[in-house]
Order: sequence, then structure tokens, then C-alpha cells
Amino acid sequence: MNYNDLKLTASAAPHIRTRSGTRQLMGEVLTALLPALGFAVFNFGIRALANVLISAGGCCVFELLYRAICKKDITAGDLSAAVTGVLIAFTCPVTTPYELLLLGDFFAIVLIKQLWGGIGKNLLNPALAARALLLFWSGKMSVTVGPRTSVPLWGVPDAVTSPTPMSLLRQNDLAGLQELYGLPEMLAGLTGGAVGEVCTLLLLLGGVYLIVRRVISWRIPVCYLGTAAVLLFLFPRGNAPADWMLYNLLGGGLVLAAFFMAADYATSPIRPACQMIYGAGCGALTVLFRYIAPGNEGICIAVLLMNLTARPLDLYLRPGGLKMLKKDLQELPSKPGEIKKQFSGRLKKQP
Amino acid sequence: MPFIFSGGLPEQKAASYNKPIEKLPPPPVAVLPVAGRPAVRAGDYVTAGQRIGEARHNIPVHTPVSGRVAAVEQRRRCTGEASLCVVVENDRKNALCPAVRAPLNPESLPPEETVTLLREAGLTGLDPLGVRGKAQAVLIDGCESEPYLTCRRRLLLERPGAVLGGARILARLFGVDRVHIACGDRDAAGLLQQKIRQDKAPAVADVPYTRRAGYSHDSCAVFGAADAAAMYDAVCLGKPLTHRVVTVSGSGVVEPKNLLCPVGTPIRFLLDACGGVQPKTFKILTGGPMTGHAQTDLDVPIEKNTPAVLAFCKDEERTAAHPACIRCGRCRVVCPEKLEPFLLLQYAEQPDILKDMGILRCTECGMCSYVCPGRLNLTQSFQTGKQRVKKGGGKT
Ligand code: SF4
Ligand code: SF4
Repeated sequence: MNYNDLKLTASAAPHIRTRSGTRQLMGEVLTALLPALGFAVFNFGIRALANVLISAGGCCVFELLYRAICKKDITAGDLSAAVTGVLIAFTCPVTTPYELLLLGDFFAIVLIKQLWGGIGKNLLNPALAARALLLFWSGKMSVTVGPRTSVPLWGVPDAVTSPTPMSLLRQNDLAGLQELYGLPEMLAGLTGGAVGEVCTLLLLLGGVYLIVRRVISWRIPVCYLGTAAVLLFLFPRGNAPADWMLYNLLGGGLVLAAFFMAADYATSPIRPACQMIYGAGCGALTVLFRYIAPGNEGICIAVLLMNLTARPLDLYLRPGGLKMLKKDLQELPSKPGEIKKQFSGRLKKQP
Repeated sequence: MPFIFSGGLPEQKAASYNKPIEKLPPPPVAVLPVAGRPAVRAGDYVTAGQRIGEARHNIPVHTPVSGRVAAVEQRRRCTGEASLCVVVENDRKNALCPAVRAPLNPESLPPEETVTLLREAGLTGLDPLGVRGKAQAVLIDGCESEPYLTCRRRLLLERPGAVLGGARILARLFGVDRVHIACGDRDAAGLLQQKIRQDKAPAVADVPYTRRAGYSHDSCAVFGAADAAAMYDAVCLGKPLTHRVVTVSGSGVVEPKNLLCPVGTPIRFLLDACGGVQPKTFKILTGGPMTGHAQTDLDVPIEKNTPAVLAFCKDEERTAAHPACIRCGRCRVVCPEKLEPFLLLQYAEQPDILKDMGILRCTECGMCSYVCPGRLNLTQSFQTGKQRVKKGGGKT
């Protein structure tokens, strides 16, 4: 046979790779979020779907635009921006104006993710960072409706701002909450609250799906929820520790945060021991901030703080890491200058 | 039931799984890389089995065919480097070299002489003989090491006697009463067990019942199944190592096969014997898909350690335009050497840190690149990293 017509390529080994790339993994995450989205539509009407679609679309468009303007490879197809968008919509109340969602998208994708170098390089979880930014519009962000309320696609329903489980817990009004919603309702999500955080049951289902499919490891979510549960039980407000713990775990998006935000690849540690420490840290800080912070957003701040520990944990908490830590600390004085240089370099690259 | 060593990557073996070993039609030439001066010159007449020089590490090279030496010249090897090669033009007479010995009885041979004999026969993979006296266990590896390969399975199925003969030689050399043969599939394990039972002489081999060996890494000597069979050939049949079984497979091969080929056959003749390749083939490899070398020149010869020739017309490499680490940690989980590829990658430019992180332990097995969803070329970067560390190590 004549082989001269073949166009043979040379490349380094290995010559085969697994099917599951970034896009497939992010697709799995989206799949895991689907049931909760379905419930949100059932609970809050079609507006919930509109929020999620607009937010996800916004994230993808911002990513596309940024990378096109900076003349970099287009990566919006890897679906990670879409995951960020869905999560942003999930953490906001269904009445959130669309422009605020888009503002959050812009902040998350451009300032938090892309300016730090794009996927995998961001230090903070983009969705949570966006949520933290939106805290400044707390007036518009705290219009919450009760369960089974259909919200119009445009505008805000004038009448109802119904208490959410979280706002009642903040006032230590466990009895009032118990009167309003029983534990089964809390679990099923027939309560008021943010779009995607209410239905704990379906979120758990999605989380377990991710663990079974080996997309994430069990360590971060389990340590997160476990630590939070223990601390809530040991230091309850009021005199019903078990109820206090359960209501706190089921309300306010703790499960959403544990499976879908704290376990985010880019901003959590990789080594198993570090993952456990990180998860426990998230749990402890969450409880702390729920007790001392003025607003409703203990989780958000807790996880963002722990995000900052992810890389140091990975780097220094390993055999030989201590030596490296000492060396890095010695070189520290020269570091700020370097960081500034790098950062201004990044800014300059933009037209 | 014996333990079947399984798991790992999707196997992709179906195409050649049940294809019996076929003899390759005698190729017109054999190209034999040598290190140093060959023992023959252009124009000499050589006979099959004649020693024509030494390869690296002083391993003797024998010609598998008889004929005239057409040239002694620089040619490309499948590893990509050029090397002095003896090119023998096959006269298809298969005249046997008088130096090829008469068969011997391994039982009557003192161990030291057996070792010399094995080395003289040009066997590779004899390094574990170095731990003779120290090793508590001897293992014959009958598992395929990479996807697509089926040559070990076929060897175990079709020459179980030779493998068991090799086990007998090894047992004597190491002074152990059992040599363990690890099998990757049920058919081979069953057949070997049956052969062991039928054997009249006291059994010296078994197919282990568990994966748990109980020996530490250093106290165990591991030989490939092909090495064991070659030992039998060398001692009991008096034949030097001149042939090997090669799996020819992959989406681009018209008719995948397992072929018994003379070492030194240019790979084009193996592809010819399998009906050629599909017109859209864009990659041809020597070796397995994880560690093999991509070839653009089909005149490179197969060598003693080439388990396969693979051709691909479908993209299984799945490269990305924009490779990026998403910090998923998969590379860390799969690394058999317990390295942390994502960290090694981060410090790719700093050889001293790489060294501290143990990059020299990397066996370039390709697993981390295989699983990486960000499609980074981890293994490749560690190849360069290792070279850099070795060079830097010389300076300081
Ligand atoms: S190529 Fe090296 S680093 Fe990668 S998995 Fe294999 S041994 Fe580990
Ligand atoms: S497998 Fe690839 S993407 Fe995942 S941590 Fe390792 S290098 Fe990063």
C-alpha cells in the first residue's frame, strides 16, 4: 500500500484522552441544578426561569465579549460561565430586577474571573462575589414573596414582602418560623426565599448526583454541613437545639452553598486533607457570621473568606510545604510590587 | 477463582481481542539499531540468529533473517532519535546461524550460566535479575499495560507452555518455590491454571488469588510475560530473541491483528499485513496510546520493546484550543507515583521546586494528561521538566 498521501501528525504522548472535558463536567453541574430550577418555576412562576436564563446568558455574553475584545481564545463554550450565571440567579430573590442580575454577571465574569486570568485562576467564587456585591442594593434585593406566588415577568409585585425562614431565624424567632413552616415544608422548599435555595431536597439530590458521578468529592460538602450542624447544635439560640439546627441547615441556602459553591473547583483546595479543613472552616465561619453579621449573608462572606485560604492550604499543607512557606515569607517584601506589576500588566492589555 | 487484575482505562481491545497470533510474511529488510561498532560490515552475509552487534546497555542484537548486509548507516528509530543501524536484506532462505545452540535442560544448568545465557540471547527486561537473592517474590506480569494492546493476552493464550517454562527458569534462578503470574483476563488465567494442574513436574507457578501481595515494592522482581516466554525460548529451545508479538490496531487499521514479527521490521510491512490503513488516518504510533511515539516516517523499525503499531483516523486525542487547569484534582488522584501534577505544572519553570516535589519519580505514564478535563499537556511538560532538573542537578 502507498502511504505517501497520508497527512500524519506528530505529537507527544499520551495520544488518547478521556471524553469528559471541562465542558462535560460543567454540563453535569448544570444537570444537577436542573431539578432545583424546576421546583423554583413551580414555586415562583415563570419569572424564576427568566431570571436564570437571563443571568446565564448574561454571563456567557460578558465572557464572550471580554475575550473577543482582548483577542483571546473564546472559552464561553465550556459552560462554566453558564454555571456561574445560574448560581447568581439562584442566590437572588425572584423579584430581583434584571439589571441587577446583569450587573452581578458583569462583576463576576469580568472583574472576578477574567481579570484574574480566566477559568481556574480566579481566587474568589464569581457567583458568591457577585452576590456579595448585590448586598449593596439590599433594598431591592430583599423583596421576598411567599411560596407558590407567581411573580409577573416585569416589575415587582407591590403588596407582599413575606418573611423568609432566614429573616425569622435572624430575629431568633424560631417559634414564629415553626408556626409558619413545618420541617417537611422546609425540606421540600415550600417557603419564601431566593430562587434556587429553597428546595433543599432537590439540591441534595443534585449534590449526591455530582458526588456519585465523581464530579466533586464528598469531603467539602460533608465537612461543611457537618461542622455547621455540630456548632449550631452546641450553641443554639433559644432552647431547642435540635430544631434550631435543622431549621438553620434547611434554610438560607446552606445546602446550595455546600455542594455548588464551596466545592467549586477553582476556589477550593485539591488535596483531600485540605478539602476537609476548608469544608470545616466554611461551616464554622458560616455559623459565626450568621450569629454576628448584621445582614443575612453569613454564607456568602464565610465562603469568600475561605476561598482565599484554598491555594495556600494546597501549597503549604503538604510534605515539603513548610520549607516553601518559609522561603516565600522571606521573599514576601518583594511580592507586593510584583503583584502590582502583574495586575497593571493585565489592565494594560486591554484596549 | 484467581484474581483478575482489572480496572484502569477503557480498554478498547475488542478489535484484536480474539485474533490469534499470525505470522507476518517475511519482510524484505530488517533494520537493527546498534550502539557502538557493529560486528558486521556492509556486504557481509549473515544468517538468521547471528549476532551482529550490541544495543544500548550491551544487550546483544541478533538478526532475525538471513541475507546480505545492505548498509550500516544512520537511520531514524521509533523513539525519534537517529542511531546507527544494520540493514539486512532478507534473502528469504532463512538460513540458520550455526551459532544458534542446541536446546539445554535448565535443571542441569548452574544459575550463573543461565544468567549469562539469557544475556547472550539478547533479552531485554532482565534488570530485575539484579535483585537475585534479595527478592522474596517473583511476579510475571501478564496484564496489558495500555488500552488497545492485546499482545500479552494472546501470548498467554497461545504459548502458555513457554510462559510457564520461563516461570520454571525464574523459580530456579531466584530460589523461590512459587512464581506468581498476574493475569488481566479470565481466559488466560483459566488456561494457565489448567496447564499448571496438568503439568507432571511439581508446580512452580500459580495465578494469584488476591491482589494483595504482602511484599514491599523492593522485594519483588517483576518480569513481563513476553520476557518469560523469551527465557524459555533461549534456554530450552536455544533461540535468541529475534521475534515478538505486536498488536496492530486502532480506528485507522483496516483489519486489526496480532502479529508475530521479526524485530527490525519497518512498520509499513505490519500495516500492509493488516490490509493497510484508512485514507483519513492522521496518526500512526509505535507503542501503546499512552506512552507510544507518533511516527511520520513508516520506515522506522519495530524494536524488542514495541508492543503495538496503532493507526488512528478518529480523534481520540481531544485537544483544546485553550487548555486551562480548572483545579479539579483528577490528575492528583490518578498519578501512580503520588505526585501532584497541578502543582508541578504551576512551577514548571522552577527546576529546584520541581525536584523537591519529586518530579524525577514521574514515569511519564500519561495518566494525568489522559484524565485532565482542561486538556493540559501535563506529561509532556514533565518530560521537559525532568530533563531540566537533571541538567540543573549537574551544575549545582
Ligand atoms: S505522567 Fe508522571 S505525573 Fe503524570 S500521572 Fe504519570 S507519573 Fe504521575
Ligand atoms: S486534571 Fe487538569 S484541570 Fe484537573 S487539576 Fe489536574 S491539571 Fe488541573
